[in-house]
Amino acid sequence: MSLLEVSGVTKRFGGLIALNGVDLAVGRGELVGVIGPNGAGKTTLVNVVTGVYYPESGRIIFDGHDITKTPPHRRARLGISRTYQVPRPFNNLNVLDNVALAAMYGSRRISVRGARELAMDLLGRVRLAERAQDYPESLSVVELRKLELARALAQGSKLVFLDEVSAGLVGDDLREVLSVVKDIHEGGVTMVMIEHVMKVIFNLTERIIVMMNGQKLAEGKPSEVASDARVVESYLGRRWSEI
Amino acid sequence: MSMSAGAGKRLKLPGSTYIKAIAVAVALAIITAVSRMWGSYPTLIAMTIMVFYVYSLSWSLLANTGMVSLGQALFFALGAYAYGIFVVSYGVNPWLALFAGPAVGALAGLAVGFVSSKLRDWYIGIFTFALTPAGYALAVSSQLSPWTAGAVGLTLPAFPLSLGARLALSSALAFAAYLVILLIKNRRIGFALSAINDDETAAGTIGINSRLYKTMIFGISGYMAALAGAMFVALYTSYVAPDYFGYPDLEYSVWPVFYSMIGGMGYPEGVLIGTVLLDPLQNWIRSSLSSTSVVGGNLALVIFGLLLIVVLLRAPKGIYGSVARYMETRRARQAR
Repeated sequence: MSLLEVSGVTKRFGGLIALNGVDLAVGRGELVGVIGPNGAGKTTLVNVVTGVYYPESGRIIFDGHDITKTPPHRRARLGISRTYQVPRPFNNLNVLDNVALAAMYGSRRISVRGARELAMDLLGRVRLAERAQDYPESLSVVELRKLELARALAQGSKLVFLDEVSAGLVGDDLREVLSVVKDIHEGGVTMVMIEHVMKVIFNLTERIIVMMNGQKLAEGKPSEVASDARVVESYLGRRWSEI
Repeated sequence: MSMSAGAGKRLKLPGSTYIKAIAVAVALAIITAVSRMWGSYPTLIAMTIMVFYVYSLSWSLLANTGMVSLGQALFFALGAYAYGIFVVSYGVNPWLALFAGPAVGALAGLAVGFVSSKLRDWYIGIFTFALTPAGYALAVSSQLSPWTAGAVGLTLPAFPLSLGARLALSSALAFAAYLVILLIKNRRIGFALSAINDDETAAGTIGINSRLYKTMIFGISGYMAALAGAMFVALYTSYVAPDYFGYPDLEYSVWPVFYSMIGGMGYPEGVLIGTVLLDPLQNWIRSSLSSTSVVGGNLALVIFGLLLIVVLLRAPKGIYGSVARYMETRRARQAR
């Protein structure tokens, strides 16, 4: 059975249909990519699965629990975590405690001391250990992304959503973050990567879902999706064929 | 290899917390001893410092959870009235009334917190502010006057302790309130409150039940503010007046805001500094300068308002907060 099963989920904002009967299944240990242009409904999908919004219709089953109407904190306890497209660190806490806090809550719920020890280990894993005592306001974009990754890991989650973890990054910074993501996935964490550009996840995932106007346009292996006529025509367009 | 670099680094544990707690205990003891030796008027001034420290801590606990209460006097006055009514109308032992009376504040806090946990930002301020005229109206209502003595106010029997002992009791309670804040701050819940204050949505997605915590914190804050109110009337004024509800005069609702924000509301030690500096100043302005000023009794409010603007422009985290943050970043820089 899949770890996450989203079936027929619809989410409206006033007259706008952000998600229109979306189905999505994620198996244990998978790394699934979700791509689509601005306004395709990618972030809304993350928000609906993590509980920031409740859908108007459809069902969300996670690890055997129906979580369609479950509040966010309880979903986190069940084992869902996420990163934000625009990083949202807790600015009153230093880097170490930002990560430790996630271990104190999330699905682990351990003591302050234990959480700090685990946080230090995780900061090492995302290569951010030397900034442990600094405050988030002094971090660069790539460091903030690593902080978000460490925080999501600290929750002890079964499923991590990465909302455009590559946004605003180029060159070495981008490679660095993607290699951290790869390490984490190879450590056995199930992941869904939301991305704007296919290039970023092409070599990381075995399966890509393409969204468009709140609906699933295509789904399959990266190579299949890239050559899917509908995808090329409506989303990737001429630019993709040139690359 | 980067793993070992992380694991080898020593973890910072709050060892400095003990030093701070001892410093606060010493400071409270000095205020108590010096004022007692000085005379009975300084003893009364010291007593209001203790009362308003407990009261300001109750306000800053909420503020540090992202809830700005502009009607904290509701709980203060409820504690004062609960004590007064318990003692006068029901003949309850003053000691029992001093600690049981504030339970009324805790219950009110839970109720206000339950509603506030559904509100965000300034709506909490407006909601709490709107409750204080309601409290005042109840206190002066003719139906309740058999208990509250209406607009006249309740005159209370003396608390069965000498002046010096009453001050000692106030400072012990002030230290107890400080310890409660310290305990909250250094445990899991303290980190969660800080996160809720910062970004409630992000706090939710890492597993923090912010509505539960906000309601709970309002209950604790309600008890503390009510305890301050009960201390005020039991140990100091021996009188309960309807204007303790912070209506029509705002004073009782705004003093804890001034003391906390100027001293450094994120730190219980900062709140102490704010209270120690400003509460006697407020008393002095009221007794010495008010009669000559055009704004009369509100002169202290005017001066504190200006002072708040100046401090927050120069030091947004208050006096203590700015120093503490500066030291911390400097230590972090040196450690590298």
